[in-house]
Amino acid sequence: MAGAGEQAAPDSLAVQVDSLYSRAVVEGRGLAPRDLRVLGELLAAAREMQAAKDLEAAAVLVQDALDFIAERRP
Amino acid sequence: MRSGVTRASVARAGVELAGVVRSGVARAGVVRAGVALAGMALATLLSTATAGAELGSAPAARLAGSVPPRTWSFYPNVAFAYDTFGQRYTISDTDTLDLYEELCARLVARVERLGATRLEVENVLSLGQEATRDDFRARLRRGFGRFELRAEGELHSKQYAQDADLDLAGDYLAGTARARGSLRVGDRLWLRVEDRLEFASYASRSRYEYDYQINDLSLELERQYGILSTVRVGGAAGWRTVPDSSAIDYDRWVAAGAWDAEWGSHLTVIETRIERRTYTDSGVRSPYSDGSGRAAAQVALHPRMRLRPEYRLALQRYDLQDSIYADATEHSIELLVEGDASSRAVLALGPRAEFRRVGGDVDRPYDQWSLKGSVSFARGRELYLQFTDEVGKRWYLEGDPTFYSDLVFNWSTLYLTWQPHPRLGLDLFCSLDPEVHEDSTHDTTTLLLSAAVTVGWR
Repeated sequence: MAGAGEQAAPDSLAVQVDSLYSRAVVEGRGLAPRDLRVLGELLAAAREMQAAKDLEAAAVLVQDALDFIAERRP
Repeated sequence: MRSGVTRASVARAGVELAGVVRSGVARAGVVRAGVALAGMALATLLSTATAGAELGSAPAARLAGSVPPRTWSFYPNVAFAYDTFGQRYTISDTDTLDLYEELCARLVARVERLGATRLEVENVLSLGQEATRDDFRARLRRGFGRFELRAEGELHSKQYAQDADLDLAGDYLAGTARARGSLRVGDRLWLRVEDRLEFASYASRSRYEYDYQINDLSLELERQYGILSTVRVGGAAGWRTVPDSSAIDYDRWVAAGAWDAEWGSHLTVIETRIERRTYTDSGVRSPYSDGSGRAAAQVALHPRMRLRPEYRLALQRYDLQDSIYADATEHSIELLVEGDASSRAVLALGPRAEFRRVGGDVDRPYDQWSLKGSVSFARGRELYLQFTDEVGKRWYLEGDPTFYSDLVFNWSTLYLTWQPHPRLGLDLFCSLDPEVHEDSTHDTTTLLLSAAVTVGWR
């Protein structure tokens, strides 16, 4: 992810959130449309937390998203 | 059925981005010209991860027809493919682009044996800068009078490069094995039994990538009457085991039914599927019920014009809801008018509406209205092109608009397969999905481009 990491100091949590976010976006494409709606809302919330510099909250949301993908993948 | 051909072609193009391609093609498929309304085989309904190829009434034709002469064929080819996936959104008023791209070379070897026993074996080795993967498939089919046996096996392995963009993803080996017996138990009446085993094994297991095995056993009864008219009912029992976390082992029960009917020059389809899934530890994952249904028709208004109404329903009910795993109901209805502009071109246009109601905090209810259209063009086996577009607006009814506000969307897909020479082919899939929100900081644009050039036997 090119830009998100540039928004804040590249501390380890920011890098981790970026990495997990990228992974959720790419892997989430395999979900059914109705599950994509839930994933889209989770990732939108994570982006908002990133924008608010609340990286801990963003990390929790992205982890929730990856858990959801793991459970709902076809 | 055209959709099967299209999906196969996309798969041939080495599309790693299967999810988006599937949804894109599926969306396109709704308005695709010439899509036979004969619904999917019940086996597809019963399994959530089936390839769905060559199912349904094929045994009838196979057993009734003559046996082709015994021959062996070898179809090698080499392909060069490029895939890219990007998502543009905004954080702190600065545009951000998330991008994944890969260039790879693919070597394909396929052996086919025709005759009383039909055998197909294919291996695809893909070498890219992101990963190396190998996909092996084998199919065996043999008829014994009123009985037909099919066996299929697939193995997929993927090893990521050391400097891959997705360095958190793990190498894996996954596969499926399937055996199916079809018995003609009466005049145009078929009984099918299938067992399907799926497994995945990761080199490095994590919270998101865990080994598992799934086994589904299904039973289906099909009655055929007329050329396109069939009734199918069936059920399945399945279970998943996760060695690292037995708490998320699950059992599931599925019931499904489908009715395809022709009424002179008109066609109707009704499909339904219900699943009940229970986990070993319901405190970790709530048991839930999942249902879906589809009713569609093709009404011949004129020899060159058809009306294609379709209604879909999806339901999810969790025993124990939380903010993410929550009840949801989704209805969609569309009314397309499809016409043959020429013997090669088909146009379709019509309105579509979607209504989602939810019980959780993360997911939000909405109403959505849109206009869909498509253009399809085919010239023999040489060229097939399809462009679809859906423009509409979504209104969220409640929930926190901080993260996601009402939006206007324009979802478009282009699919092209072109074979200018018998040994040269081009496959292209592109989708561009911009979403403009009431709050511009929520805007997103998703882009997928997948292209492949193939030299050899396709």
